[in-house]
Amino acid sequence: MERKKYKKIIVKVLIIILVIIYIMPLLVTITNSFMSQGEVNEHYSTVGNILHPGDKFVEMHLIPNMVSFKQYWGLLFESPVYLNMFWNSVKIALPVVIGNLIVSSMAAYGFTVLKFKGKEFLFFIYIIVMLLPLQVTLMPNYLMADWLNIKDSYLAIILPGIFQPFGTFLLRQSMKMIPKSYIESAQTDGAGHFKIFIYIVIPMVKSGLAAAAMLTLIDYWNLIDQAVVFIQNNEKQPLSLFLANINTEQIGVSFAGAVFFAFPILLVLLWGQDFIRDGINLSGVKG
Amino acid sequence: MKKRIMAFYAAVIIVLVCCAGCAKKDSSSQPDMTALETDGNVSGNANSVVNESNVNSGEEQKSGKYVQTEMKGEITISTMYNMEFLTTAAENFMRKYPDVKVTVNESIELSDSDVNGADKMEQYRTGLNTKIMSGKAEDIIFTQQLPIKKYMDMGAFEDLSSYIETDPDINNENYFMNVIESARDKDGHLYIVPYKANFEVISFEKELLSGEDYFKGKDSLRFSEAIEYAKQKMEQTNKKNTYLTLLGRDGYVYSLVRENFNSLIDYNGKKANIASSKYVEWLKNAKEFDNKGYFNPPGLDFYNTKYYFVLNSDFDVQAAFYNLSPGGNCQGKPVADSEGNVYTSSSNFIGISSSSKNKEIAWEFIKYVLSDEIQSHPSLSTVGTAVNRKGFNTLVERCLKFYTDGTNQQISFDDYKNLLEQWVNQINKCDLSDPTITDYFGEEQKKFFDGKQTAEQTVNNLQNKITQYLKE
Amino acid sequence: MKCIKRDNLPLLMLGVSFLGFIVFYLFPFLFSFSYALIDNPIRKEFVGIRNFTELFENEYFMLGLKNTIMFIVISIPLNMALSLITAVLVNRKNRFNRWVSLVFLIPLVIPSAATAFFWQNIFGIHGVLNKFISLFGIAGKDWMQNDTGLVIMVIIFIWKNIGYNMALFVSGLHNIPEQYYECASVEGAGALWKFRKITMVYLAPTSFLVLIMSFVNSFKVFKEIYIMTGQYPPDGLYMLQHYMNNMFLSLNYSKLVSAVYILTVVIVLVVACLFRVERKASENLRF
Repeated sequence: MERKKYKKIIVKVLIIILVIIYIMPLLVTITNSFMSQGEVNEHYSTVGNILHPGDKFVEMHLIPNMVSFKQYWGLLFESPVYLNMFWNSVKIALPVVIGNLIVSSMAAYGFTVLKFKGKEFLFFIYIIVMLLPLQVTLMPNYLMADWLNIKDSYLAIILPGIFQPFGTFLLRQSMKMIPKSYIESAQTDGAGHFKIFIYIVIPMVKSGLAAAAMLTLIDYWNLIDQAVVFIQNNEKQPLSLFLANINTEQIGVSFAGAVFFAFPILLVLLWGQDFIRDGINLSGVKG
Repeated sequence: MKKRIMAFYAAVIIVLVCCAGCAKKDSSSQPDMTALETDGNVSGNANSVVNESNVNSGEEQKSGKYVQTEMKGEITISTMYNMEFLTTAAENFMRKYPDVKVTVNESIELSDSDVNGADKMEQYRTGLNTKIMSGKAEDIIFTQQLPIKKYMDMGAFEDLSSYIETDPDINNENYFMNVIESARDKDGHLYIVPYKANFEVISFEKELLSGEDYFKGKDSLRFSEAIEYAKQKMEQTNKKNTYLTLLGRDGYVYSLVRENFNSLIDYNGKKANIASSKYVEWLKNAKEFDNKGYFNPPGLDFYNTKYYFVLNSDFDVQAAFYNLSPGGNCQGKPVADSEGNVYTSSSNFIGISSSSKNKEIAWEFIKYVLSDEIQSHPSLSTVGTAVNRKGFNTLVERCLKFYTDGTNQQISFDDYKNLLEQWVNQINKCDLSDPTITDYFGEEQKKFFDGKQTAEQTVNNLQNKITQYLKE
Repeated sequence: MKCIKRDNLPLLMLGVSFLGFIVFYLFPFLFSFSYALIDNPIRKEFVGIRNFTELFENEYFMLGLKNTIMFIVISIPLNMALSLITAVLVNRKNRFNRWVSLVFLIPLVIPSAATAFFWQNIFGIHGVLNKFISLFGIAGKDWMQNDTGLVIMVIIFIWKNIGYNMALFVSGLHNIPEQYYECASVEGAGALWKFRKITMVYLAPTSFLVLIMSFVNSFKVFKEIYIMTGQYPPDGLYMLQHYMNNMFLSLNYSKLVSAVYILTVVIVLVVACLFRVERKASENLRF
């Protein structure tokens, strides 16, 4: 019994150390956002001042000398533009996540249940096209958006996002784990595909759905390159793009901006952690 | 069931390949102007002349070769910073031709002060490049801070020679043709035209010249010769607080690099000749001069002390003022490179995208930007001169007023105008040096002057970096 | 006839996804390939495979290719192993694990500019690391230079992507029905046996998914490195993505696409083999 306890403690300590390493950047960002601009400049400048000439090291402080809310004030109230951009980001990310879940789960179900020649080949193609990096696909996507006449709207970003193969890939791998007997017994009971999909398959892949939703959300919340090309109007920019532009002279504000950017997502992800741990429960199988 | 699906897939693939082929054909069916050029005089404009309807807008028409196209359609303009005269030009143009819609797409609005320039530039280029490569770029592109040579080499711009040839209004009587045609390349293609001229002038402190006529027979100055002469004068003078130049050691090296840019960088041959050049000497000289105190220390107190700078660099309108004003007390000429060419800055040019579907209307708009009306617009420039002669006069008058306002200096308008005109007439080339390369020089030089690396290392780094840039 | 009626719905479900997939992913894939066969995206002269042959003679392309392959070979297995271990550690559904897994997702929601700034301030020449070792009298250096640059890139890649893969693995682990483990426990199996014979086996589909997504994400680490070292980093860090990005900025889409396709062919061959392996493995799973 003691051995087990030791093991558990060691594991927990390891995890805590890892956590600290991981949380450092976020912690630095949060605490630095409470520093005044002058203090931030002082800490991060590498040029010596009169007292200490010559190059000096960067000082990364965790505790601000003086807590100041000025950065947040400037961020939220002096230019309401940040709140606007936040909603723009939501307007892009939310439809993508919801749409992708629906389309991908349907496609994954199709891949799981159907039997036709070339099914695996088709699935293979689904996977391969994901390997193309953004610089390559940006241009043909632009052409396609122009042809469909959506190139100046969010649709040019949302539509490709909804049909992204990643969700299909993930959900199909999840559905592979559902024992065949489960579905077959439902079929012999006379259930149509629709019922099987909604009442049996979907509840079983809750974990996969949560994972797909979270990861897609992260991807589209951090969008930059597509936004640059498809969004001309400065007022329609999402927050990620705006933050990428922050003047390095104003690092303080960018800290506050980064915090503002990350927190809503973290809350959503926290909520998703429970769903991701809903496993496949076979207790419904009779005999 | 299975057969049906296979057939479905086959059909899909066939349709896709057709689409991909069609998409290519679409954009390549536009008249390829560049392919028609053999020398600069061929009129590739045949298509547009044939397509025009006979709408006469009341413009002067001389030989009948130039007929204005039907003014109906839509053009878009891409610019990184918006400029007031551009907005005015767009509005006036639309008022003049009610069937034409002009949209200006700007990347940074005038009011944006919070924005990091370098990042915005990159985003602007990402967007612009995507559009150019997919053939959907805006019709007119302003060239602020773009590496224009690359864009020209890839064929992003339309050759404007034929437009200029056939338009009787564009001549030396109305315009400074030497400036307008300064971007003509060695094959005779003219891809971009300037809406203003901007060049550098180097001047000597008159008192230190001690009456010698250094400028005899010279219409422009080479920096290397001028700085040699300045050094001599400085060593001979017994005036206190005399420094070589306000440019400092960075400006000194930079000016020498600019002068010899074409021999340092062989753009077409994709070679960098830095290691085999005198660059190392220049770096070492700069440091030596600095140690000898030739360059001024930081923090000058202009109020209490009189300083003398033997050689100075300034931009056109301001240099002209200091040349003529008794208080300025200097005398100078435009700066030339080692081959004697005087350059105008490349950020003030406009081009028409080669994939544009409204080239004729775009050309009309560019003509309008070059017209008397817009070239006289107050916001056209505070640095640089207009290319339209009437606009030039207006601008000169405005600048003179700006510089002499509040002082009691009397400089005659004719003197000022003639001096500037004399200088502008020296321009014969457009400065197409790649800003990426000049940035590298700046970075490496800074490291050298900060003492972080030796001159040889600097040369080595530059040689490698630039070779990589050219050869990639 | 009964068969056809039954299969209509899944066919439709797959069809919707397939349609979007063709428009937004397959078409760009094929279309971009056609650009590899021409010399210039604006002039469009057909040159066949000249782009490919020229690329193999281009020393910078080969440098980028070599570095990218080295990076992939080192970091992807490492990343997968580490994320699998952490996923197993935080598998159970309890409050502690919920927060810990959130922590690992933090790197994904901080904007790239902020993370680049953070790492720059640690590994840069005036950074915290140098300050730390200067306390021991060791002279610091710019860690982003040649030999250590690759190590740092691997560190940043792993730091950022463990969370992503961990989420996928956790979902995959929960796809394995609890009942399998319970059966094995009843028959007296130990933890290691359970891990080897149940977890590893049933994790095959998920592992394949993680592998592919790791490839996709390894392209994205470019963003941080780009912010830290610019367009032309030291030789050891010059990846294929740098080459591609520079080609993009030079309007040379054809070279960009050719370069990508060479890399893609290599990856596709590897993926195809693993795809076969995964298929065999998953067929044995569903009983």
